[in-house]
Amino acid sequence: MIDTKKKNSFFSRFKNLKLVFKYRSITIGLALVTFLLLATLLAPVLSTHSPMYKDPNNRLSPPSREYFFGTDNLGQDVYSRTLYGGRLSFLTGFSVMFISGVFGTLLGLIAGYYRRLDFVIMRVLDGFMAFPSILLAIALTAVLGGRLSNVIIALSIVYTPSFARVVRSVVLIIRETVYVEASKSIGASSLRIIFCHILPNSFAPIIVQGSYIFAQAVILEAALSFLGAGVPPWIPTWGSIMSGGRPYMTVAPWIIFFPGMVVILAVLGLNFFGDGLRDIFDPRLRGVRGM
Amino acid sequence: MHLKSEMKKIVLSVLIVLLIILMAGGNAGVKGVFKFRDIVGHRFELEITKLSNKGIIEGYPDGTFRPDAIVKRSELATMLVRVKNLTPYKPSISTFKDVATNNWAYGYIMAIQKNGLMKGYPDGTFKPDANITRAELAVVLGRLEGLENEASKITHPTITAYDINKVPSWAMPYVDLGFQPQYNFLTGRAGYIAPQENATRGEVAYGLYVVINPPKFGGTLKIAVFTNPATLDTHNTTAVITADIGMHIFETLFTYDEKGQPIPLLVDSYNVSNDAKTYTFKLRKGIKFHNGNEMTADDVVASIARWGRLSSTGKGLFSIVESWTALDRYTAQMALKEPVSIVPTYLASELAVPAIYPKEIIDKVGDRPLKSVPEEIIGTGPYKFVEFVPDDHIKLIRFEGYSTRNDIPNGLGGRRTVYPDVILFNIVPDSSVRALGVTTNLYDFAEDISPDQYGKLRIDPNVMTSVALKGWEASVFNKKQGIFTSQKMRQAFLAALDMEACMKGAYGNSDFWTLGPHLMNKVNAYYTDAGKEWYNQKNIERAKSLLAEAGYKGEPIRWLVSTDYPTNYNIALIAKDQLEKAGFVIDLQVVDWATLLKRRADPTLWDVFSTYFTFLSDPTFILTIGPAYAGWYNNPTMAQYLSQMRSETDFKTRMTIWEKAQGLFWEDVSAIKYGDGMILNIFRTTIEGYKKPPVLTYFFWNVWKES
Amino acid sequence: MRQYLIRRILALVPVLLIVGFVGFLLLNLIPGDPALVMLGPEATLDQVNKLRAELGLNLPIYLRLIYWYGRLFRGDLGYSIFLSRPVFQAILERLQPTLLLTIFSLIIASVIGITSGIIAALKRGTWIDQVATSLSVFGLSIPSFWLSLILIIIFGVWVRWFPVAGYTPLKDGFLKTLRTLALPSLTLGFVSSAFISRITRSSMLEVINQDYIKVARAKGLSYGKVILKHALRNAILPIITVMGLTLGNLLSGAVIVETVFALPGIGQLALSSILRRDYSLTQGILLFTATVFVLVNLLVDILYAFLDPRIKYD
Repeated sequence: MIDTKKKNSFFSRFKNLKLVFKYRSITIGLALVTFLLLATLLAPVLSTHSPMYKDPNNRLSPPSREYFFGTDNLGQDVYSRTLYGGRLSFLTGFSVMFISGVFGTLLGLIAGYYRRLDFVIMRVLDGFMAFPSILLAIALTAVLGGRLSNVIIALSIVYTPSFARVVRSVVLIIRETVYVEASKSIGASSLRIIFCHILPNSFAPIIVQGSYIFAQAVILEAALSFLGAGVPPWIPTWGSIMSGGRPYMTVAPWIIFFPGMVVILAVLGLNFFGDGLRDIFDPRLRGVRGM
Repeated sequence: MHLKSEMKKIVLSVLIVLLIILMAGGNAGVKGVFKFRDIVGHRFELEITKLSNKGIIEGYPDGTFRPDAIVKRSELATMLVRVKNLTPYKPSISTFKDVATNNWAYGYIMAIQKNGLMKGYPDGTFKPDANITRAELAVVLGRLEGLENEASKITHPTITAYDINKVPSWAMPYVDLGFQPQYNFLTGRAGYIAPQENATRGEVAYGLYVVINPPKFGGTLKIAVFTNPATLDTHNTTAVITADIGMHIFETLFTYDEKGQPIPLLVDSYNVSNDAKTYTFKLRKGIKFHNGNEMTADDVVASIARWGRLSSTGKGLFSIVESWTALDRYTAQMALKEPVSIVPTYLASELAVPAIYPKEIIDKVGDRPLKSVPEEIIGTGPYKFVEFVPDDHIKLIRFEGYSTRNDIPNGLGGRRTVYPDVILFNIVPDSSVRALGVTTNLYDFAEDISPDQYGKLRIDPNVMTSVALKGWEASVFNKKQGIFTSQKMRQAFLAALDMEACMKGAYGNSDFWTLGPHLMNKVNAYYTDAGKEWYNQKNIERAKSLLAEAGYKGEPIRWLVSTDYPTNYNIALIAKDQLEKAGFVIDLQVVDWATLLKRRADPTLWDVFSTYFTFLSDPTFILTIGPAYAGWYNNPTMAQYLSQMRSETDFKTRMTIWEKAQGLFWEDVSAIKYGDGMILNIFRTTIEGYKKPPVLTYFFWNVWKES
Repeated sequence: MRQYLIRRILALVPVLLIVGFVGFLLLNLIPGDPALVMLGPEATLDQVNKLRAELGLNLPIYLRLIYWYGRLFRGDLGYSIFLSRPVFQAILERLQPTLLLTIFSLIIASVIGITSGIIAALKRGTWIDQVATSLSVFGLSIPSFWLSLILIIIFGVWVRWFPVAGYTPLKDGFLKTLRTLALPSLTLGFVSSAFISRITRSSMLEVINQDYIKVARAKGLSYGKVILKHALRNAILPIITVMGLTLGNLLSGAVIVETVFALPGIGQLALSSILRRDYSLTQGILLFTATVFVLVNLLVDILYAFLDPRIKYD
């Protein structure tokens, strides 16, 4: 049984076998994500057919040597479409993570540091977070128009509040630390404190939260495409491929099964990565996920 | 500490196992059930199958049943013995001169004779190898049902048919009873009783089955349909679902018989002047609307006039109507400017149905669509409208005051009996959910199931499949404004298309689609393949050169299509690829059907849209060759052909004109036809009496639920 | 305590104002004329003008906002064009399936989540912990629509235990309703349980290591009693917060699950209202669900305060 009582000394952690777990977690996560990312980036090389190539004579065929994941109702290769679709899904996830990360961090920093603005900002964010994420995303996409850029904007709006929340809690904690007190006492400006002391110490939770948001964005984008509220339906994304397979799910379940498994693996990887990272950087944040 | 990766491995392997199971699951089906090879789609498929499952009838060693073969008396005797579970009776001496004791059917014949169901002839013969006539069958079935007493009370027939006078008096009472709703063991032949004709094996099977399982009144019929009807007002929409549901609530002056020909429904009789310019209709008396009021000529005149204003078919007719008035309470008269031979066909029209509404409703509502509320949806039909909950269901109940015709059921015409108390049309947009709903007994009937399910559903013992011609898949061009005002552009579009790939991709199973340039279906008298040199060119090079000639500069082509109709959508996707190879730039706009309808009314918003058209009874009804339909087709030559056909009564002349017109259709390309598509409907085997309608998708009178 | 409650309730007001404002933005962000978009180009000028007046589109923007808040205050959520009835009425008609789905899902999620969280915490480090945590990460990674479809394939084709689509209202029999909600609740419940499980686990771990637990054990109390009476009671607070947050996820998940399983609830209604451009209905549903979410979280916070007056909320 692992000795968990010695958690006060920062360095003692590294001697702890538990760390090996967390490293394992990070490695597995990173490996999965990198593998899938590379696969999708190398889609032109790895795919066996063009994603739009249609073979009506072999429609709805089960997985075979020619079509690894089987074909859909138009005879399109599910494997190749999944590879290419991954690009859009990863692109969406990454962009959403980045945009909501930037804005969320800014808002979180301001809210955490400036008491008076905190109240206002938090109430606004609470307001946004009150809406069910998928409805908000679909409504925004519908209003703005069904293009990839608008999907990214919509999802970023949905996820910025939770990012901001996490950053804010971290700022609240760090604000009370010795470093900051010291800086203040020597007269450092607020901006300097924020950007030179608080922000660097917040990187860890930001990255952790980023990986979670990435994961959630991939799932939400898939859901959006699945419901027909995202990009036009013939453009392959993991969600739209599964959406096309829905009328045939009892005769050709592979159309839904494989892209779904890939989504699960990608998100699993991201979650493992985030968990491992979080466990390393600060166990105190274990409860803080801001979702 | 490899546990976490161990964990992952376990999870992954579980998933792989699941995957393998799913793959297998995709092909695993219910245990197959034996069905005779040659009864698929036959009128009596259900009854034959059920009767064979009970062991009462047998097929032939080669797996066929031969439902249209004739029945010998000896064969009938055998079936009857099995029905009544009698033991074959083999006395040492035969009662009949022509039935030897070693005859294969000896035991059965003697048993049935002893039982009294079949008798011999006065000359001491049984005539075992003679065919049984339909009149004789009626008598046997009536006796089987135990109706001798009833029969003795009948002095003259309550039913009518074209050949009612040919029914021999000894058979008359049983024939009459056989068509009564509570017994229903006889079927007509396109309105004829044909008493002297030989009964077929199918007819015998049907009769025996219904005698054993008489129709039951009551219950709720649950139908799964694919979308919300945008309106229930049939006058101003060509939407098939409105007509499908509307037909249960409303009625028309004429309707279609088994052969797809118009026959009177609300009309009692009619008279056509010699010059085919005046039609005088005498209406049936005592027909009640759902609100209790009687239907009179005023209602008829107002309704048809409204239909003439609002529907494209109606506008086509009324453009040459001189006057349309009520002569008296039950008579209406139409005077035309030119001779028209097909007025009854117009008045039976199944798209933009000329339904009869009460005049008060029309006065109140004017030309705006009827609201889907009981106060406005009032007809004379066998079902009464109760409610429409959007996205959920439409509820109809039996109309107790319904006046049915007395002639025998004939397609959509003839007697209409409502057996269920309630019909629920459930709105289920997802086709696999509709199918699953029927296999799991959530619904009794589901329309429009993906043909890919056909194989599995055919062998499901609880499910009956019904394949019907749906219509032809089409794309219609905007010829009023925009890029397709140019004929060359339209021809370029046509040249690039590979129709086979399109149809195959959309429908899959080759049982469900065919190719061909015909705009009238294969069993119609006006079928022709004129224009075939334009159809299915698959010529990318030609398309490219036509594009160049037309001066196409790569402007995006706005193509409206709806996923509410998956075949439209899939064909568009396949065609898009083909067209792009030829250099077209396609902007595919995928919207829901309601939005498509709204957008296509504005010529600035689109260039081409996808739809399908049902096959109609007369070429002059085809929508896309006329100016009143979306697409604004305005070709004077075509218009001339149409008006010539309208007034011409001679078939040969009409046919010649039609061949030219269809050829022009392909040369001028007002629209594209990809091919003919079938629709797959399924229902539970507990639904009895269901017959495929001659037009549209389904109908639920003379249909009952086995309890 | 009282001060805390008053502050919480006061904080509600700006949040609701923001909710209302976002709802307002939604309709006014539509490029072009919202009334024209909703009615379509076939609409007559009369109809368009009528709708514009109803929506107050002819007023300057600040007046529009005031008018808008006024309507919300009166509880008028607007009028649905497609359903031809007030939005509020449409919501009430569709409330039952969503309400029941949410309740059952929450129960399932809590039962699975809390139990597996406790077990994982107690057996921390062992393979049981690994299984539980991996399962919960797995649950976080599954798209709910995918799980729904897999369940439909399994229960629609092979094992016919539950109906795969449709809804039987309560008035037709509670047991039937339960059966139609079984698969949807299982899907949503499982997916939501992951989060609860993780929070339970970490919360329990924090508590177990506290001194007062060791004191209780030293006093001789049985392990089980210690867990249930002392540990859980103190660990419950973050868990309850999470359950409140889960409600938001459940409402979100309800949209997907209702659509896939053909349940006539609010989620499916919201989705079809967007696809049909019935934006008044969309707005109304968004406002309704957001308000419910805010109120429920208020209740959770109040409950929190009652359970642990020591906690000072920031």
